[in-house]
Amino acid sequence: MAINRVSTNQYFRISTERMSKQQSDLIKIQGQLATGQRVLKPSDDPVAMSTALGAKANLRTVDSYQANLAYVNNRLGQVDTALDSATEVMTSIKEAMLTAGNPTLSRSDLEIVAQDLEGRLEELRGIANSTDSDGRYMFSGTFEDRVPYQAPAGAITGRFLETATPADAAAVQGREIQVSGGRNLNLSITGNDAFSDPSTGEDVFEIMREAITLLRNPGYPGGQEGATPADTYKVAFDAKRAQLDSVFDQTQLARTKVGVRLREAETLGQINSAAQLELERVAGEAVGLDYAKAISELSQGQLQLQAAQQSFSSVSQLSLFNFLK
Amino acid sequence: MSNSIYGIALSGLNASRSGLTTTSHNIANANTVGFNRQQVVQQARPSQGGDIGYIGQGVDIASVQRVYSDFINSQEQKATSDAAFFTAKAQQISRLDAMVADDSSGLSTALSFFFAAAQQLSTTPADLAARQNYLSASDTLSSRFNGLNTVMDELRTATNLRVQDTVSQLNDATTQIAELNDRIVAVSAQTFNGGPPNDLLDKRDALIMQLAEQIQVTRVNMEDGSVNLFLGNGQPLVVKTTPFQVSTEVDPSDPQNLLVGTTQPINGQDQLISFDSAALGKGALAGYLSFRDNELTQFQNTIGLLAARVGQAVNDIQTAGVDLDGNAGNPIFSFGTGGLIDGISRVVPNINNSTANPTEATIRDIDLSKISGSDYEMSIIGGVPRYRELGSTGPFVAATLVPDPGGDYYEIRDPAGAPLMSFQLDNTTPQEGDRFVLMPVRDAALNMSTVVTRPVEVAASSATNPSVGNNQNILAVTALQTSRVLYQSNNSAGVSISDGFNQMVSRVGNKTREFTIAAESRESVKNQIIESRDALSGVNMDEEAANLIKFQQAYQASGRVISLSKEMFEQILNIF
Repeated sequence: MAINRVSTNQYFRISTERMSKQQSDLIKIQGQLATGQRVLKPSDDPVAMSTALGAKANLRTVDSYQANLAYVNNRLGQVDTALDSATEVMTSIKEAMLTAGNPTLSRSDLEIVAQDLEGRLEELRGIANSTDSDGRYMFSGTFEDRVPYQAPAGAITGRFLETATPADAAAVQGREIQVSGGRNLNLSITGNDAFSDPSTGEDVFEIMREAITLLRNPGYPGGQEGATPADTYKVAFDAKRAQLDSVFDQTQLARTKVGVRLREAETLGQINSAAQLELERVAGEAVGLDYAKAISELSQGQLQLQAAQQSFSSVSQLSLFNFLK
Repeated sequence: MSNSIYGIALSGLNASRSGLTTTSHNIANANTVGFNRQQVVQQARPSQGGDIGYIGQGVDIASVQRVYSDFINSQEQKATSDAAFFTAKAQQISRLDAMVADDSSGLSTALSFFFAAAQQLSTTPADLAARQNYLSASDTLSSRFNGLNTVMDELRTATNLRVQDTVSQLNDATTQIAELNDRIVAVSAQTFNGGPPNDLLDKRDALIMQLAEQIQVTRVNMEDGSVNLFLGNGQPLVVKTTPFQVSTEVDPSDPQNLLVGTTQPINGQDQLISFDSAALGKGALAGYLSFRDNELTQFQNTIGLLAARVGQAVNDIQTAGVDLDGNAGNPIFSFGTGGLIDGISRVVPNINNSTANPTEATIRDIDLSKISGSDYEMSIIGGVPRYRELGSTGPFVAATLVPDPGGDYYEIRDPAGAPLMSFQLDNTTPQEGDRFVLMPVRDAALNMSTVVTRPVEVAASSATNPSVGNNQNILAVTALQTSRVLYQSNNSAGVSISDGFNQMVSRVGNKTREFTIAAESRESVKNQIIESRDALSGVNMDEEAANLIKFQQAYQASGRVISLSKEMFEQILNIF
C-alpha cells in the first residue's frame, strides 16, 4: 500500500510493532534452541505433533515388548538349564536300566541298581520341581505356586499337579506374553511337555517306580538260581525301558522347543530394536529441531532486529522542529 | 481606504492566529487516541463592488473541520469486531494448546504407563510388586483424566468471567456514547454557524471503536448529530440518549454457563432475552461464547468419552477374570457411587421447566462403542420427547419409545437407526415445552477414580483354569492398547484410545492455528485500515512545523500591513 502522507504517530507505531514482532520471532527460536524441539505446542505443527505423540506411544509399547523379551530370555534360559540337567540324569537312568537287563546280575546286584534308580528318580524330581529366580515352579505351567511332582505318601500318588485346583492336569498350559505387535511367546514348558510319555500319558516318575518294583520282584529274571525265568517280568521291564526312551525323546523335544523360542526371541529383539530406532527417528524428525537452520534463523533475526533498531533511532531523530529557532 | 486595509489586515491576523491555535492543538493531541487532525477552513470575504470593480474585504474563518472519513471509520469498526472475535477464540484455546500434548498433563504418557504396567504384569502375574505397579498406573491414569477435566472446567469458568467483563465494558461504552449523543446534540444546536464539535465527535468515535471490540454494531448517523447503534439482528444498543443494558444470567439449561442478552419486561416481569449468534455477530463477546459452546464443550466431551471408554473396557475385562484369591474381579475404575451411567453422564433440566408435577429425565443406557461425544437437547413437543444434537438448528426428531416391563424408555438413534443411548421419563404426561440437555459423557473424566487398592484383587487370571500364573485376562488388557474401540464412523474400524487422544491433540492444534491465523490476518486487515486512517487523519509533526512557519509568516505579514497602513495615514497627515 502506498502511503503518501505518514503521521508521526503512525511512524512510531509501525516501527515499534515491527520490532516487537521481530523480538517475538527471536524468542520463539530461542525457545526451540533451549528445548531442542521445533514443535513445542500442537498448534506449531498439528500433524507433526500428532505423528510424534503416536510414535512416542508406539515406542513405549515396543519398549514393553523388549522388556518382555528380556524376561523370556531369562526365564527360558532357566528352563533350558533345568532340561539340560534332566537330560544328564535321564541318560544315567537309561544306562542303569540297560544294566538291569543283564541276566547275569545277582539279586543283590539288582537291588544296587534299584537303589541307584531310586536315587536318580529323586534327583530328577528335584529338577522337575525346580523354581525360577522368583521362586516359582518352572514346570507347573500357570499353576506355578504348586509343586508339580510330589513324593508319593499316603493318599498322594505323586501325579503331575495332583494338588492343583482344579486338578485338570491335562489342561495345564504355559503362560504366553506379548513380545511384538502380533506375536506372543510361551514362557513355559510344563511337566506334561517335558517329563511324560506322550503315548500313555504316564510321567517319568510313575514309569521309574514301576520299573523299580519290577526289579525287586522275586520273579524278575537273573540272580535267582534254579528259578524259571519269568519272561513276563522281562517283557514288562523292557516296556518300561521303551517308555523311558520316549520320555527322553519328549525331553529332548522340549529342549528343542525352548531353543526355537530363544532363537525367535533373538530375532524379534533385533526387529524390535530396529523399530525402536525408527520410531525415535520419526518422533525426532517430526518435532525435533534442525539446529543449523535454527541457529542461522536466529542470527538472521538478530541482524534484522539490530538493523531495525538502528534505522529507527536515526530516522526518528529527524524533525523539522530541530530547525525552528 | 486605510480603514478597509486595517480591517483586512485584522481579519488576516485573526485567521493566522486561528491557524496557529489549531496547529498547536494538533501538535498537543498528536498522541491522543482517536484524535483526528483539524484544519481551519478559510474563505475570502465577499468583495464590495465599486466604480473601479470589486475590491476584496479580507478573510473569514468558515469553520474548523476534522480531517475524517466516514467510510474508513466504518471499515475500521467492522475489522475491529472481526479481529476481536478471533483473538478471543485464539486466546482461550491456546490454553488447551499449551497443555494437551505436555508429558506431565496430557494423556499420552499416562496411557503408555498404564499399558506398560499391564505388559509387565503379564510376565509375572503372581508378583505383588507388578500388581501394585499396575494399580498405581491405573490411579495415575484416572487422576490424569481428572486433571484434564479440571483444566477444562477452569477454562469454562475463566471464559464465563471474560464474558462478564466484556459485558460490563460494553455497558460502560454504551452509557458514555448515549451521554455524548446528548451533549453533541445540545452543542450542535447552539453553535452559531454549525461548526462541528470536533473533539466530542472524536471521543464518541473512539468509544464506538472500543465497543466494536466487544460486540459488532451497526451505526446509523442521525440528522441532529446523534448516532444510533444496533446489533446484527436489529436489536438496539443505543438510541439517541438511551443505552440498552446488556446483562448476563446463569443459563437455565446448564448452570455451568452464562447467558448474555437484554432484559425486557414480558407480562410485567423482567426476562432475559438471550442473544443468538446472529445478534452477536463478531466481537470478543461472540468469540468467548463461541469458544465455550463449541470447541471447549467438544474437547471436554472427547476427554469424557475417552475416560468412559477406557474405564468401561478395563472394568469389563477385570470383572470377567479371577483375582489372586480366586474371587471374581471387581471393577478397577469407578465413576462415582451411582453406577457407570450416572457417573459419566449428566442430565440438566431447564430451570424454566414446570414446577408443578415436574418431570425427571434419566439416561438409562449408553452405547459407548457408538457415540461420538455430542450432547443432546431433548424437549417435550406435541406430548412426546424429541431430540436433536445440542447446538444444531435442525429439526427435533421424535425419540423412539421402547416398551419395557421395567419402565418404558426412549431411544436416541444414529441416522442408520442404531440406538446410541436411551433415557427414561418418570412422568407419563410430561409438561409440554419442558426441556432437558442430555450429556452422555460429560462427567466421566470428572468422576473417574481407581477403587481397587489391594494388589491381590487385580484379576489377571481368566475364569477358566484360574491359577496364579494365568495371565490371560491381563493379556486382554494389553490387547486393548491397540484395539480400535473408539467409534469413528459407520464405515471405519474405529481408532484406539491413544490414537483417539492424538486426534484430539491434532484438532486442538489445528483449531488453535486456525484461530491464531484468522486473528492475525483480521488484525492485519484492521492495521491496514488504521494505516489509511492515520495517513489521512493522523498528525504529522513536520507538517505541523511547516504550518507553524506558514501561519507565523502570515501573521507577521498581516501585522506588517497594519504598520504600513499606519505609515500611509501619517503621510496623509503630514500633508497638512
